Amino acid sequence: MRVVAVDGPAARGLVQRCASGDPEARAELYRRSYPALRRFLDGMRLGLPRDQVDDAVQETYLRLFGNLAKVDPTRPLIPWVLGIARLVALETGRRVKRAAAPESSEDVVSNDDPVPGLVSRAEERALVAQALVALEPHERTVIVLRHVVGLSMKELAESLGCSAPTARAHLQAAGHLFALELRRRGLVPGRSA
Amino acid sequence: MNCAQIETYLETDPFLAEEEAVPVRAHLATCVPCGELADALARAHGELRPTGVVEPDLALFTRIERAHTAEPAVSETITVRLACTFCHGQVSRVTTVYCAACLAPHHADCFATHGTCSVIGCRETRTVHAASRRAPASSWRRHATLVAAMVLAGTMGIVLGARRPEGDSVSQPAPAPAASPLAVCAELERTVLFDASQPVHLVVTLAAREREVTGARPPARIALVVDRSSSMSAEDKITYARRAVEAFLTGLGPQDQVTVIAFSNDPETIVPWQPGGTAPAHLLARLQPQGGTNISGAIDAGARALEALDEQRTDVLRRVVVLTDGAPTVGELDPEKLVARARALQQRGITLSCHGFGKDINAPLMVSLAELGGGTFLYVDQGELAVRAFEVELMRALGTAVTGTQLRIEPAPGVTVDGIVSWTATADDGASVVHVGDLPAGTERKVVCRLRWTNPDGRAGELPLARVRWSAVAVSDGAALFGAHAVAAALGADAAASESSVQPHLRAKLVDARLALQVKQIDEHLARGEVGLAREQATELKALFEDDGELEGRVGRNAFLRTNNAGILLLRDGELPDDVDAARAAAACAVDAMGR
Repeated sequence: MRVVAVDGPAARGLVQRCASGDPEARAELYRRSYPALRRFLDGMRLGLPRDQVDDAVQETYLRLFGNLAKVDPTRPLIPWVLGIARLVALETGRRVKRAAAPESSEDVVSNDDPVPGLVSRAEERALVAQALVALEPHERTVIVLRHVVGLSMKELAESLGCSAPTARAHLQAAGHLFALELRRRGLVPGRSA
Repeated sequence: MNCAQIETYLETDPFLAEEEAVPVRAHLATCVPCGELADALARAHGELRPTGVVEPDLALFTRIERAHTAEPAVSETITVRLACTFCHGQVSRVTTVYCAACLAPHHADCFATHGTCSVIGCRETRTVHAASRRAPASSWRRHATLVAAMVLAGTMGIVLGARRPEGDSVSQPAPAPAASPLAVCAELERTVLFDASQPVHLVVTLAAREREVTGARPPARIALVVDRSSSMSAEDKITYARRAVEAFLTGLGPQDQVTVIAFSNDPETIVPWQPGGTAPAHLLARLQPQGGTNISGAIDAGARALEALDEQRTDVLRRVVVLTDGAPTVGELDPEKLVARARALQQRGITLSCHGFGKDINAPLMVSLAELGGGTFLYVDQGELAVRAFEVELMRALGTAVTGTQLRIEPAPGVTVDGIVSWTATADDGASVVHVGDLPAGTERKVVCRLRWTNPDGRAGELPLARVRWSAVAVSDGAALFGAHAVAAALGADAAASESSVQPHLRAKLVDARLALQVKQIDEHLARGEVGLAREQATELKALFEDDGELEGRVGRNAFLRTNNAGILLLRDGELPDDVDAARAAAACAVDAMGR
């Protein structure tokens, strides 16, 4: 699966044009990066109404446009945008968590063995979403960047601001915890003996 | 490749190199349960993938453009925003609580979570709130109040503006210390003591702050010292070692410098100092098995290479990383003298890490070398995990924020240190000294210390227990960091008061320490040759998971970030390798992951 547009030499010129204040370049940058950014923020399932997700999108672009001078034109652009969105999502998530009632986030999890075939597709999707929401923000971010946005390992490392081996370690740790949550919900089989 | 390892690889399957992917696919093709696990995970990941096309929202872009191009509003008022000292999130004036001692602002729930003020050195447990804002008094009322105050002051002979006497409990609070790359917090598991027959646990948490505080990563100077003794030809270990070295060299940045020294009877530099990012295959081909294992000569060669660089700058990370598959057979063989070399290196600003490859290593020696050398010990029990171990090494080496971290616990009169979980403490003039070593940015280490106390006079009030001193060096600027905490507890009148003072936020750390302590006991059984007792105790580890539902998650997280396959199999499933040396190495990894 590849969802993210590949950053090429054209994107490098685009960043430089944006930094010089060209409004058409900003529109082009927005057009190219919006799908990945929107998928990421929707995929994080922050529990926000659409207008507040729009606010998060706006905040991301305002920070991006305000810091274009710091963008290294040789580095891929989309992971840079997603790196900013990651911080915005973490801040938003913290704000939402404070505002939410403390007892409202408990998932309903069955300890019974799942019966194959009885979980419908819609229920399975809802349970997968529950498992994702149950993760800590950092682990959730890693899973969303990989499986919802479809970043490669190199792009993931750029977004997380670390080296590729470190990103791989983060992905493995997040994947393990995600598998634990899926197992709690009967979506993956138990550990083999 | 076995069933326990497979889950590690499933998450990164599309990114595996061909040599890693082949055994994974072969295992999945033959093992039905793992195949089903892989299918189920793939299906769940598929459910996360978005459907449909996302079109850019042009109305939203117009809004963003308007906000971006708008002139910044000039305000006549200054807005002051407060940040929570614990979580750094914004706080409002109304909902903020302030530390009663230093007035550091906190969210109420953050203060409750931490249990005390989170400013370094401040252990205040009480908070105060801002007074409600009142409307300003009218002009004539202000004048009348001022006149009345002056008359009253004159009558009582008080000079307005006089300083409060020294030691007044309402004196101005000391300013909070500036953000340091290292935060140290010393806390007792309970703040009220009653029964002197029960020891009390002191938990010292040393946390290296994130890069935003610790500064940009300094360049690294790393000497990779790789065993090429004849035993490395077994099980193709030399090939895996070569791949691990290649991955390590390419993972470094161009600002870093690295050299590779191969050793058997004598060390030999096979890759001279070069910038990171490239792995010269023709030079690494000289890594061919022959001869014995001269670990002391190898460590000395690595240290000499680093010191020969003769750089004047202090803001570099200097590290020797040793990969070996056996115990020393040539050169210095005395473990105590080898460990003394590691300590001397650390004092010269060079960190030593040790990676043990295969079941023939001397695990206790390598653990001690890495601990007193300030670095990492990792046990590579499967050839294909050698690359992974070097990835972890790279992550820790490049992330180092503070180095040479040392903790000194000085018990008060009448108090004794009954043990320090997971760390090797050295005694110094009645104090226990723990070498914590390097800390990567954004990570923390904990030292859990058990204190025995007495109260022969039966006095009430506060009982001093210990003084905790620490020192370290910030790698960003070479600044010396140090500080101290006095630890004291209240003496309670009954057991109920003591029980109610238990600090809930320390519970997870103490459970992890308990797990590490059990693994340490397994290691001690193995050292005495009591293999049966060790296995019995290993199978009992699972009981801890039943007491604590969150423990499995923490073990899972540490499995990937701080230990290896053998360590995690021991922690999670109570499995011990058949070979005693390999079992001791697994135990060392497990203790490191959970106890520190």
